[in-house]
Amino acid sequence: MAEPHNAASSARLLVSVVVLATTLGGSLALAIYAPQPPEALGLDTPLLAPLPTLEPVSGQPDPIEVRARRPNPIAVTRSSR
Amino acid sequence: MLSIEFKTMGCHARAFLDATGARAQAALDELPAWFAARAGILSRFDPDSALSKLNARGMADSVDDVLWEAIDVALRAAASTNGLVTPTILRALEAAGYDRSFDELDRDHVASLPPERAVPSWQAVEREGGTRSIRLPPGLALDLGGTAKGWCADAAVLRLAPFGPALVDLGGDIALSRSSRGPWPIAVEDSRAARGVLELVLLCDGGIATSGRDLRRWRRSGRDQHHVIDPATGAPSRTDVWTATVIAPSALAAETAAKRLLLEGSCQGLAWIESNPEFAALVVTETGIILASSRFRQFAWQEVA
Repeated sequence: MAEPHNAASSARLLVSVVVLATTLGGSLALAIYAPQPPEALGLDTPLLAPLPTLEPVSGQPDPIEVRARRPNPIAVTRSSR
Repeated sequence: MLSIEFKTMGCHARAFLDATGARAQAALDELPAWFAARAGILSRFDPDSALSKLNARGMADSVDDVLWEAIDVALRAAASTNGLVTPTILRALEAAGYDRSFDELDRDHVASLPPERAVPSWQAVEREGGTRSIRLPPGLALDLGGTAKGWCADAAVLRLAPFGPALVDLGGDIALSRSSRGPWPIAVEDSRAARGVLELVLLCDGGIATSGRDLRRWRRSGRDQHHVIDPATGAPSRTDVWTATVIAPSALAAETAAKRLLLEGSCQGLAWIESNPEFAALVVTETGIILASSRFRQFAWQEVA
């Protein structure tokens, strides 16, 4: 009778490990695709490092900055008058 | 930046020259007289112009260089547009009521309109290069208004080129050359609103021109008329295009393409623009819809949030 009991215990343990692994895996996947604060995952340390900030290369003009200032038109195209 | 403003060829003209010094200033100061000389040869309103004399007599020999080249430019524009933008519309334009300068025009004439009929083909103009002779068959007279302003604006920029980058604006047909200061900012007028601006474009070189039936309009026999004649009917065009603005490698090419758009309508005209990578266009339709070719956006200034 011990045999089936032990087998049932082992099966319950296996199911528990699979559930735990699935839960952790799901949490990890969630953390990867939808970053959340570590507290939300019940973790003390962040799993993912924050994304690096892109810094402009020093000495190069920023074309977006140049175009952001609306220039005053020097001429107007229109039907002849 | 040197600049000058003057009236010529029935419109307001402005020129900018990115240069300094007395010689550059002198070149700019000579522009009004240079344009006036061309206007005196090419005007259809001046009975003493070389063009008017050719139209009146139907023939001319030893034709003046400027008139010869202006006619050549106009006939090449006709060939490149399958006869759509043709100089052979003068009699049809006069029949529609535009028989004097626009300032002198009776804007609500009661005279009846003639029946519609196609204008003579541009290929009917006979030229002989050796003697610089031109022959016009009976009923054919030339109006160079479809190409002359763009051509003259391009020529003026070339004339100023030895002194520096330049922009020449001839009543809205604009030619420009590359400047180290960066692109020239040019507004596209929205004729539906007072002092309205449709877009602001940034151009490095080439030309931009607008053609439309928003300004040179009048009524004859109770019907609206305008100056862009459809050669197939000899009457003002009736497509869905209200105004067409074209960016092109030159002011002449831009002016020709803008008139083509006005005559072909938005669908066919913009399809032609799309198939020619050196052109971009912005169209306002009769119902107020604004259509831009795919390449127009690369020239348009856009606000960055």
